[in-house]
Amino acid sequence: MSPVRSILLLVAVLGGVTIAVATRLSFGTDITNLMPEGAAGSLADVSRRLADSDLARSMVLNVGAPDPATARAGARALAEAMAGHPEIAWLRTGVDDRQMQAVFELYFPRRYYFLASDPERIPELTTDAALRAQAERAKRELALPTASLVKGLVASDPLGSFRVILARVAGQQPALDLVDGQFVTRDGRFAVLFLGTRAPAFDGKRQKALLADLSAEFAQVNQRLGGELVLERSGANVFAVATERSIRSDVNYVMVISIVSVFVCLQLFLGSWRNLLLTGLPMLGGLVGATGLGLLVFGQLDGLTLGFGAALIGVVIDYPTHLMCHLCFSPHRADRALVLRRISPSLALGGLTTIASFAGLGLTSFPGFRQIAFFSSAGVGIALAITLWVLPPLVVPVARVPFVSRVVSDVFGRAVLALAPRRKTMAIISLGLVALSAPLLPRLTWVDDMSRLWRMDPQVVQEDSRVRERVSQWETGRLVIGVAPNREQAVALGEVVQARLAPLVANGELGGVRSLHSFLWPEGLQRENLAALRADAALPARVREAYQAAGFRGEAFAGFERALAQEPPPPLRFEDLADSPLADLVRPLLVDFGDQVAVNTYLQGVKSPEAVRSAIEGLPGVHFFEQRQFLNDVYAQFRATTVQQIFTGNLLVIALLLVRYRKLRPAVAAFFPSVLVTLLLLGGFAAFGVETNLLHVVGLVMVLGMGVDYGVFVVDSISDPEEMGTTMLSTFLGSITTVFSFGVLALSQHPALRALGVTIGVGILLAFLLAPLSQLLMPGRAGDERA
Amino acid sequence: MSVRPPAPRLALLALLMAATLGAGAESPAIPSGPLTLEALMQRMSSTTGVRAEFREEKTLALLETPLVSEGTLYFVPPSRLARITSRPGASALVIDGGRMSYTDEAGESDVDLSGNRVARSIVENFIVLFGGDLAALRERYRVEFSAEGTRWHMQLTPKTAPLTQFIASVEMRGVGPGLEEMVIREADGDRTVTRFRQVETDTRFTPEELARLFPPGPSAPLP
Repeated sequence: MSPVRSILLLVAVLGGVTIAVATRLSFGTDITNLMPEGAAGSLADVSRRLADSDLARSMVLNVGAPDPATARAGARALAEAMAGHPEIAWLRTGVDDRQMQAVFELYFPRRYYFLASDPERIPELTTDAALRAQAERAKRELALPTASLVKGLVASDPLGSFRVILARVAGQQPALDLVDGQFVTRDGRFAVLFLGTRAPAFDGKRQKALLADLSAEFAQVNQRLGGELVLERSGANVFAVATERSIRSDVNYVMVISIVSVFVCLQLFLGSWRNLLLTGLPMLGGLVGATGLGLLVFGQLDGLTLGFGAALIGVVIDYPTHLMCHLCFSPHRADRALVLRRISPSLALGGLTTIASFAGLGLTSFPGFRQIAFFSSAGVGIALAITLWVLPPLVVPVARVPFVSRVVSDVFGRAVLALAPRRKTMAIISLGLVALSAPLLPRLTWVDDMSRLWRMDPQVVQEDSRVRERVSQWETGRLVIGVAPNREQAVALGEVVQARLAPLVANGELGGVRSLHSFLWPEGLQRENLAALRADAALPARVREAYQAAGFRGEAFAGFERALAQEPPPPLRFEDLADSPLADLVRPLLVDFGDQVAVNTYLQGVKSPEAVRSAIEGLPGVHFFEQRQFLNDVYAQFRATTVQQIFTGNLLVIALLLVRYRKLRPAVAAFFPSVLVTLLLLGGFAAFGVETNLLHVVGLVMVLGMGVDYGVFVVDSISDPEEMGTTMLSTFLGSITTVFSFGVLALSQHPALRALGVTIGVGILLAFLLAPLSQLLMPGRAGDERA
Repeated sequence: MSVRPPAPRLALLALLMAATLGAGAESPAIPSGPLTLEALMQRMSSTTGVRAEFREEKTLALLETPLVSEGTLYFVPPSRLARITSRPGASALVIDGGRMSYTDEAGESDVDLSGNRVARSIVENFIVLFGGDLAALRERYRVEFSAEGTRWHMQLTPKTAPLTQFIASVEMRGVGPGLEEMVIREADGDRTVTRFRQVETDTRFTPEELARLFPPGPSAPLP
């Protein structure tokens, strides 16, 4: 194909795909894609739902000022300014009058349904002595200035049932005061606002915009009120945005270093601007093509998975550099067709082995990693195709081999060729490296605590702690979950959980629980309460007597007698609450999970997780769920699975090598340096006490992908020693640009990026240095030293 | 904090608080000549602090005999008030700014009063009265005022809901800036009469007294 046709074809294809991608491109930012899938109701399913739940989308704001009145004024002004924001689903500054009204309307007519969670205790609660105590208490309250509030309830609810209901509901509210209708902290120094965002907490773009608007509005309010206000925030979105900003800042300077270094390096070694630009073409085509195919297959690509996938596609820089080096600097470069015939199988094999090793990621149960596997494999395939079929006619020969290329080619080429006959030396080096590394492997420390992968801004962490301490928020990532086939059974299960946890609260092992029990009891239990009350035919008369003894007029209690005899409204159901202004309070407590229902009991001040576990032991479908621990377990499992899949992927790579070479020795020889690199890398981490994590494993996948490429290139050049210098130049160039592209991530302040940078940087350099050891396993030429 | 149904009669509290201010005190700031409502309000707004003993008698339809409470009231401008009772049981009701809290000897504590719509209007009423904001007072009540020398009589009739739903009228009598008696008639016929004695106006509280009467946190002090 002529160069012009090649360019036209490439431009047409890339242009078409770019238009298609640009018009359909839709990025998701669903962090749950990086969580494992699970059946409905499983802990994996719960974890995914929690990460995207209303609770995870909520924020708490504290507005502080030198004096409480200014703090309240600031909070009110901020609430007014943010109330209509399109990204805010709800905003609450105090107790909602509608909620108070709803509590009265829903519970007062049903007050006798909720007298005792154990109906057998009702006779004990309605003894003559207990009724007299109630009467005395009522009288004390009537002596207060607040008497007007309670006197209407004394006659209609002499048992105090509604008061008990109110106390339970009140226990579910944040431990705050209300001043002028505004939530304030107990010390009055901070006014408190609660809000829910429409976007998931991890939707960086939307959350960043919302937080920016919040800061801007607060700045205006602060200016209006004298400039002494302080805003403190707590919410998963604050962490997500702060972490993203910090990572972006790291990545930005890393990108600048990478781009400049790679350009300088390629220009120095290739000596041609045109060829330099052409080296980027396969990667560009791979990214655009993989994005188009990804959209076609998945409908939407996740931003996080796209980032990982794009990084993995970075390995394709090896292919055009290998092609360029051979077309421009090979001793046979005058015969282009010959050069292409010789290197094309190596390039194809290198690409296919890389695809095989990346495809292993798709075998996990993480939807995000399946996307990464597809995206990176497709990208590598497209880049390989462009390298093989589009680039060759476009590459221009250079008049003079650049000095640095000549030096590298000569030095490394000669060194490799000099090493070829020294099989004993290679064997000693190889065995030495194995002997050095293998014993260290058991000392490897795997860290699966995800919180240690990203460096949290200490200021954000402290701010969040201060806000949570003031507001006494429930722990959203630590709860007891019960899963049942339907709502009624879930409510009943929640009741059992509540009964099991109550002793822990009583003895201080738990600070408190937030459960459905405070709002709703099983219908059967409600009916049992009423039945137990009605069973005592003498109760109305005894109530009258007890209150008369305390100085009340007996006839005032006729209403109680009538109310007890009347047909009550039907028992309270979850649907009644969900349709009322109390919906926001109860929705996180009972959650539909497909064909199952989960009842959630949130915990506060867990002193002994073991005590919680043992309290709920034996309850079917009930789990103590610690999201952080669960995710760590999941990632530990994922990391172990990925390590296993590296072996599986490498078996596939070896199979490909066998198909290509049809002999065991070259296949093993091409693969051998990668094994050494892996051992040396992991042994090195163990020796230097580096705590290894998931990102080290991901980096290792990439190193193995490129390491096998280098092995293939060396093995394929053994038959033509004149080409060895060019091959070593191309692998040197490929490795050095990869070190500049990814190795500089080792400078990041984030452990995750650092892990990726160290693994890829050191690993790729080792892959280059150890690639010549492939010769150890290849048949020797006449006169070679025998090992 | 707890949630309560709207209870329509809590504004009595505000009137009680307002009425207790300055009972029996001298009236140095009131100009000579016939006492006017404007002069009275102006004097009420100028106190540095009030301490007064009170005896309250509630006549309620629920009870065979009236309920009697006794105790001491403390007011610290601009917006702090503690009502400490010693009979029939020890209890403390505290207003500190917009926040209201209550504690009794049974250890019961309730900090939700200010969350109630009616309770909020009580606080606002109190501030209006003590601040001498006659315009705001007239916005809420129809005010009838009469005086003979330094003795005066004021009758307040609520003009708007929610006060109209639970208060029929508030009647106050006093001498100079001090209040001697307050009678609250509720819409359902119940009646509360409060009498004040040993009133100390322009009291200056020490920091220790203030810390004891208005402690930080949710609980009001018990005697």
